[in-house]
Amino acid sequence: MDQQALLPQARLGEFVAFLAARQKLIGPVALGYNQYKFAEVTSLEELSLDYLPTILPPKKYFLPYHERLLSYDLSDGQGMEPVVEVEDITLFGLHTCDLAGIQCLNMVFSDHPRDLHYLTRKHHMTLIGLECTDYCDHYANCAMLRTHLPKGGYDLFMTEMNDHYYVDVNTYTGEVLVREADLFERVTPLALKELRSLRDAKKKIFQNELPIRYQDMPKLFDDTCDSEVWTQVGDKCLACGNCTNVCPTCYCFDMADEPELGLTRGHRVRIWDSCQHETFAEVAGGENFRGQRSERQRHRFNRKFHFPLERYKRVFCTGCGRCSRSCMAGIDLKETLNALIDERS
Amino acid sequence: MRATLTTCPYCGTGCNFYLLSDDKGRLTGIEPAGKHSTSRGQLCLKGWNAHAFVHHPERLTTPQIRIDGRLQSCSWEQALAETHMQLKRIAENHGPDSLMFLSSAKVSNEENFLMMKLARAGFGTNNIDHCARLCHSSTVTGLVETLGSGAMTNSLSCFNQTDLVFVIGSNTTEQHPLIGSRILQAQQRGAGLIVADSRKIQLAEHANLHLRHHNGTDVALINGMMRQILLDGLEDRNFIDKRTENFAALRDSLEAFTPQYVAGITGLKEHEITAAARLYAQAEKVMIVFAMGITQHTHGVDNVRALSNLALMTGNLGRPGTGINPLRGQNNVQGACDMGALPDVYSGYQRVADARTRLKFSAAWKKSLPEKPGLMATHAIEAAAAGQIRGMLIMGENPMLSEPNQKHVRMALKNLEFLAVIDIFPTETAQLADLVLPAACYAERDGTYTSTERRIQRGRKAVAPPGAARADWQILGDLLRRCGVPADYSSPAEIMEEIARLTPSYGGATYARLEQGESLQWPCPEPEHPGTAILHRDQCTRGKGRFSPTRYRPPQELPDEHYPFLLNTGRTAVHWHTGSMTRRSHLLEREEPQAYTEIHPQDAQKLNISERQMLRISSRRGTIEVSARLTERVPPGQIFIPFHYAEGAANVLTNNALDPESGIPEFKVCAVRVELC
Repeated sequence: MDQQALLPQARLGEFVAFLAARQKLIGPVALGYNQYKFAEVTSLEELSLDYLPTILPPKKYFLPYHERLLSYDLSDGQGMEPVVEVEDITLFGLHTCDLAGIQCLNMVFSDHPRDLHYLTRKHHMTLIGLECTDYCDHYANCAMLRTHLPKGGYDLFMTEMNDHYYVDVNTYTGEVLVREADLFERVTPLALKELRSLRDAKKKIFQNELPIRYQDMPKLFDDTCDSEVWTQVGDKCLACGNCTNVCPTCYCFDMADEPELGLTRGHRVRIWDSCQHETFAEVAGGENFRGQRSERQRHRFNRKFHFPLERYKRVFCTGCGRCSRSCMAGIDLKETLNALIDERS
Repeated sequence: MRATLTTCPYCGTGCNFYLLSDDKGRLTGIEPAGKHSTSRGQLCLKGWNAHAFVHHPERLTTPQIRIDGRLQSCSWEQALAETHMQLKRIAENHGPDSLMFLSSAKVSNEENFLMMKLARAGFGTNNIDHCARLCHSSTVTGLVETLGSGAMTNSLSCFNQTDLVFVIGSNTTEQHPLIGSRILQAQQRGAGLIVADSRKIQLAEHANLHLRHHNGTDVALINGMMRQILLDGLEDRNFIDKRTENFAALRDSLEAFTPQYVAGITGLKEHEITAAARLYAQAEKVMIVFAMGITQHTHGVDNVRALSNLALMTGNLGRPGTGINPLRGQNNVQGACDMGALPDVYSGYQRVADARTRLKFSAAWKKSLPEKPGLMATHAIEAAAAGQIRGMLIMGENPMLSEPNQKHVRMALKNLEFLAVIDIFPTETAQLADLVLPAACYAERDGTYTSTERRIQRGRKAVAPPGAARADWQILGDLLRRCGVPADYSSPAEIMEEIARLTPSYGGATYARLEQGESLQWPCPEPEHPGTAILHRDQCTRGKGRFSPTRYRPPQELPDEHYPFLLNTGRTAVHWHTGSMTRRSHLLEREEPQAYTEIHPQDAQKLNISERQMLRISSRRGTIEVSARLTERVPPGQIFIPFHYAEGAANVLTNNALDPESGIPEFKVCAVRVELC
């Protein structure tokens, strides 16, 4: 089997129908006012493939907002049963930034101690990417992070060309899909040439949006730890947690037991949490490591550009721009980084 | 995963979101909605957690009746028959006006409509009210007098066009976060911002001018600004001449309010007053934004009149980017008022005293209707204490924590012969009831809600109610039928048809239109009418805008040597009112788990108070214990206590002195003593 294939554009509808018939299919749908979300679809007509990053990233399928982890029954000893609620899902039309986000989550949850809930669910996901040929809007900073190009982490990856989609087949699952759909053609030299010129064109469009290399970011944050910029950002922040909820790589969660009224039975759940909440870093005795909003915002930036580079050798910002788009106070990631760079120079 | 588009159950902003539920009918989370005009992909912290309390194990699941002093489970038939029988008995023995009905700003328009129908047609009394009495009754009274309509005049989208926002008595970023964010965004694009608030709230950090006037001196401040505007000749002559009346009386009333006099009352500097006047009057388009800091005073109506005068004097009305914009608190407090859950009006503010209106409703409901306006909620508590109100039906309200002077409220409710409560949790009020009826919450029933900008929106059922709990409209429909009033509704949509028939401002509102994605701002009189984004465009609802002169009256109880601190009350960003929902939401309760008081570090130092120390706070009405939070947000001499906490209830302390016209209590000012525990 070739590692690449072509899908005639006219047959995309059939491919979507094939995927929907196979298992639950999720893709971007329009909500109006240039807002999109990932939702279940059954046909091409429901999809909006020319879309801005969705309000919530695909992480909502990997790490549900409110997830039951185990149920317990103390009536006879300490009975505990794991609860793993999974279903087979195909995610269709993922942008490269969101694929990068999923890769980041994979690293975190595969790290010791391995998170079996996450990893089990991940194995039930089929991921089909879709290449961006231009910026979605001015909030994005994907070129800085090189996430505007496909870097794996998918089963199939589709690039729209004149008459075809160029499809990169990355996994055995991807191979099976191409074979069973029976809609694909062999790659032609012409198609390869077209792909090369498309990628060349992208090089001109996607240029580092910031006057800094991502490798130099830790140094920037070290130098500007006490910057006035953080105070200004903190003065604006409403501590609502929109930025972390919509971030494709924010994964912090809180654990809680939800006992039934009799207190003998109940469930343990995990819920999305946010480092922007006032009490996130509060410890016994009421001390708070990051009591100020400015400190919490600084922490968020460090958790994207600084700490993960040391631990995972990877930046945890995907350049999708969701945090800036969704900020109620108008805190803009690129503006903030530029202000830090300006101040240092 | 199923996604159900609905309206947020918390504040009056009216954000939309999707409730996510799984195949087992459990809510699993929230996803912001894209299309909504205000929320567009964003939510506040409460919104993000709006699903969290729905499956809480303390939800009421069966009707309960008090036998031998204890609440015990019973059947719906027994509960409904008993409720009807007891209320009927009291009405027959002591007259219908010995009953009181408290409706709710948390239930839908349809349910509020049925509650007022039950009070009026079912039991023959106009004694119906709800918590708007405690929040914006001053606004309704004041603005109906000056403009003819008590609602927010403009739309939230107007923040995109305004030149200046004047925020007075609203902690917008915490209480209406999405609206607060629109104000911040207006300021970031260059619009001016004046904040008048004794506390250093977040918006104040971004304001061109922050006026920290003493609590309860708003009339003096606003009159002082108006006097200065006239002195500088910055008023809108053309608007005053063409669109208003009674200007001369206003002008005469302002003479005394010299900067020196106003500075003496408010504690501001003279130049701050003149600067505020000039900033305000020189802007082309100004939006006044206000909330509880204006209304919750014994002179709340005067505060509203003064703001209305200020807007009229400068022609800031009837245009985009202007207006008098009261921010309504509860998600459906606007709708509960619109539906006539008030003692003097039917739905659409049609007066019960008007014979023709009465005849219209009487013909529709096939019952003769009472003529005398009923009791306000706050007066009803006093009447219950005095034994004049003997039976009460309370739906989705918790007066034990929300009304002022808790000891008095407890005494009043215990004095009742019969108290029935419809609620979703065993609230402090439900625990005093003779009968408790379990209701469906917002995520478990269909209906419509009307937001602060008069926008009628759908709430949709995402999951089934727990146990035997029923939607409020089903409970009320049953009680109506037992009273012999026609109420055969198969769905809320049918109730809306009746509302539209009887209510001119909702005449064009139908479920079919709302289902097509329309969200209608009233007045929307006909099926083809697009709704009204801005009120009072060519003329005011009452015709000419009326200037209504006000004089300064100090709050009813001010600090003295025995009670040297001024107590200010309100809410935090993470909890909602009496906490029955948010205190059962894990992440929200974690944020603010404990009753506290804000106190200025200078005061703390004098009294030798340190951070998190437990304090005993006493007023003439009671004592509570709360922990200390040292902060410069409050000025010296003032403490601020949020009223969410049953274990440190601010309303044990507050003063049940009422505004003579609107009946609103003075939640924002009373005198207290602070001691170490």
